[in-house]
Amino acid sequence: MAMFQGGYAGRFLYVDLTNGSLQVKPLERDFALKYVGGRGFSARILYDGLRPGADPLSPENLIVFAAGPLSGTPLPSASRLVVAAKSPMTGGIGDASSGGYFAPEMKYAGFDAISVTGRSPKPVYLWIDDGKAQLRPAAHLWGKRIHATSVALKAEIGDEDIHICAIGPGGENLVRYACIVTDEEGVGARTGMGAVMGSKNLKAVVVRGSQDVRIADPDRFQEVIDAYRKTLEGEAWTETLRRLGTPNLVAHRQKLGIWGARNFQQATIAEWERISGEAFRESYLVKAMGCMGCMVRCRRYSALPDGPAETLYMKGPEYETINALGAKPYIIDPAFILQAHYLCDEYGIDEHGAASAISMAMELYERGILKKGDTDGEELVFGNGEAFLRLIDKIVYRKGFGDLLAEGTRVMGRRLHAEPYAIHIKGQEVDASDPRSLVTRALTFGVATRGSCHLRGFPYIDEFIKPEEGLKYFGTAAVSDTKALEGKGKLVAWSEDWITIANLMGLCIFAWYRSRTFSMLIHRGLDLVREAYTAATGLSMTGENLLRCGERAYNLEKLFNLREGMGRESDYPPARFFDEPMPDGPGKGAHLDRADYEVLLNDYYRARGWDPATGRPTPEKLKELELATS
Amino acid sequence: MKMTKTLVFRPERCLMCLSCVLACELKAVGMEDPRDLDPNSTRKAPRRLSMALAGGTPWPQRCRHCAQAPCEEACISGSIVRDEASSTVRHSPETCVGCGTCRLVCPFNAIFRDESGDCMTKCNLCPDDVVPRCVCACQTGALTLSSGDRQAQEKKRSYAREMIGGRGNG
Amino acid sequence: MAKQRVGYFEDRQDPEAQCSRCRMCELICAFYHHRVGNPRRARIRVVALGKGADIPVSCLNCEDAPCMTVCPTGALQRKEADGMVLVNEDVCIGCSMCVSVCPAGAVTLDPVDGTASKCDLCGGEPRCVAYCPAKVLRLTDADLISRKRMRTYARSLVHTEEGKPGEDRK
Repeated sequence: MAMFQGGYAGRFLYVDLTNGSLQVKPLERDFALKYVGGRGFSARILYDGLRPGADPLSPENLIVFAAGPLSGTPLPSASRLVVAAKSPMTGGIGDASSGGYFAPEMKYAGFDAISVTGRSPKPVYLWIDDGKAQLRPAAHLWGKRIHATSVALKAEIGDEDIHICAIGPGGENLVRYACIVTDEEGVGARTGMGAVMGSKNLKAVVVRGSQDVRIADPDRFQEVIDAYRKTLEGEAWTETLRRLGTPNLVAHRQKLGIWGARNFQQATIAEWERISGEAFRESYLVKAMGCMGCMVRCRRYSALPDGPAETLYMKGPEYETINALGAKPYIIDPAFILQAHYLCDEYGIDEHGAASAISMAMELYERGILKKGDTDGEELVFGNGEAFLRLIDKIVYRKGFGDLLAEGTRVMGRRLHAEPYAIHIKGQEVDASDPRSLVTRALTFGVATRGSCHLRGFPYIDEFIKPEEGLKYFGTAAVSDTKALEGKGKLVAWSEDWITIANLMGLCIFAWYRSRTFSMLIHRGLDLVREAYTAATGLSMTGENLLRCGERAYNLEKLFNLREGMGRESDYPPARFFDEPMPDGPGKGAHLDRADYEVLLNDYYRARGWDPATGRPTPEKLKELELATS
Repeated sequence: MKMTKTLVFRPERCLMCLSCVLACELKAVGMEDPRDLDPNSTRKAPRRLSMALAGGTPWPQRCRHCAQAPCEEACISGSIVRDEASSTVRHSPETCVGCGTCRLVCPFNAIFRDESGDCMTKCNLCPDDVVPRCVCACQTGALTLSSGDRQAQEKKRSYAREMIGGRGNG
Repeated sequence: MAKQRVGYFEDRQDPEAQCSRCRMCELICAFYHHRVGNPRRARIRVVALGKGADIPVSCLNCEDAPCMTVCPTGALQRKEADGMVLVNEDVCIGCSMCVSVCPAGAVTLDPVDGTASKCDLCGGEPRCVAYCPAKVLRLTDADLISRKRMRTYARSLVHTEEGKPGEDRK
């Protein structure tokens, strides 16, 4: 008798690379109801499986590949994989999310999650074929870039229809911000998960499966699919995403004047139209692409002429690609951006990691803090694309100046006594936008458990929520005022719990957890998801319980961080955002106010039921969330 | 659910060299080396695998290990059982009574009487070998071991390639 | 009347009117037929050829269907003279002859049922057509496909650059 009527595969795989052991354990029903999937599973496994102070690049670290109960179902956009471990960037909880096809295929292969510990004496890859797991030698794959790895694996296994989560030379060489790449396209970029895999001599996880993901109530499930599809009709946000992809945000950043250009020294980009969504669509877009079951299709597929006779094809660019590789080093050139993007994805390093390190170095060079002797002779000024490309190579292979750049901005700040120029939170570089003129964003980035992150919460709610909705959901109409502090703590906390649901279920945030209408956030993200969960698994779920599950996972991540010694002091944006006013644009003069931020942070901790001094979840809150912490 | 293990035949690679047929026969008489065969022997090993020409195209005649095998249904002694793990239909000589009903119902004429005449025999896909003998013997890759929908997927690929005239967007 | 099939119609000039490899067709097909999530049980599969070529492939409903010809039990039949070739699962023995002979790889053996699995046009309203977000799948027939190709080709002869004569005739 199966444990679950549907949704869940009901099995976890535990791998110990040190002794090569592979163990399958059942997923218990109570565990599933409490932690749901994805980040919920990984938070619990990591909290229980790691001792504080463990070195993230040592065999002790655990890396978890987690799908959700909806992964592999026919629900649109149930495509996301969570990869989580203790982060080599922050020393706290780390996770990266990747779209594509890997998480569904993991379910077809019979697993809800895979947890890997230890270090293999020789490079290996983990091969999971219809419920059977095997560690196979990967010495012949070590050193290969992402595409070559994929080609070799497909030839070796003799099947094109396998799905791969791999690292490139970046991960192998323990570049601190190395990433994982699924199926050559879906980058799980942040928090250095690629370095963790590299430190374990784990080159790839490969899955193939033909098992059913059962649906408990197919008729009801069909209704949810159709109800979801209806929500896409005529919705401006999804239509824009389909047309331009995430690069549509370029125009938005310029309009609000919130670029982090030149290492957060410039907020507007005069030539922004050269690197806008329209520009990329016009000159480089081949077609829109979609992850598993996606009806939005925001992925881009681009072609870059590479010499007179060759063309480079690649997924992307995303907005963050343009932000990292264009705005930060101030190289406002679409061809360069695609070239650098191609390299970062092939090598398996986070674009923001590389770009932030190089941009910080550019600022230091322009200020005379770094000299040519430090930069291997590079004239490392903003705009120097050729130097940038050479440095990517050096970062990946840890040559010369690249060896320091490969450590990321926090380490660079310490080693060079240049901490004010390192723009990170908890050790992870700030991406997305400059929050100096938008306090809710600043708070969201500051408190995110995995370091600076714009996807941990949904701060933009205060840009469109109506005053009466604000009163209803957050107790004050002031949340609809982007400048007001009142109620923002509660808003950020709620949005974090709400968005975490996506990461528990295996759903794509852009398809399910984005809108410019607050009622749509509730309808899709709570009502429809709850329906889908029950229809798939046969387990009952309320909207309130969904939020509670999000809150539970989030609190567990916070406990993990606290246990690593990351207290209140780690929940602050970098000094630049407080001390230096925005230099230009619509937000000129804006900066974060320290007293205001204290108010916001206290409000947030209070809303979360955490001790205001330390940020520690109170015993009452832990009891409420049924979190045994031992 | 498992991925099935199947023999896949690619006629365009077949030279009709009959190495597969020879390898299967050698196994049937318990020999490894064809030079050990006695040319004066009157033994007649049944052909569990034979090559035919169907409209000019080579075709291996053998048990197809049907998922809903008529021979399994017909067997009165329970000697024919489909094994899902290996995706093969296995005949057990130990319990076979040699009634021949399976031979009558097989659409592919793939079941024969063995040398003694008291027992049936057919392709069992060499369960005690890692790779079936016929596959080992094939020098051109015309006979291979595949699994699941890979054969169909490969044909979809070739068809798709033809449909776009061998182009991509590049 | 030409026999119907699900056809793939892309517009190379429109980045949103090409297969995006979302595989919603696979998901909804398997769900409609088997009430589960499992693309390997879908009767339509997207083939990724690289360089932006992604092609959904399903049964071509051949005029002289080799699958029907080769089936030993008569499990593959049309219900109407111009209808789609359908599988009678009660009669199918899962011998995979149809899988071997289909030129497009459009017939597979269902990994759970063990019987032949192919497009049945969902009884007349194909779900893949209804759910494709790019709207590049259409219920069509071979005549329509070739007429469309002729039109596209003819247009390419007349229409050279934007604003030039003949553009308004598209």
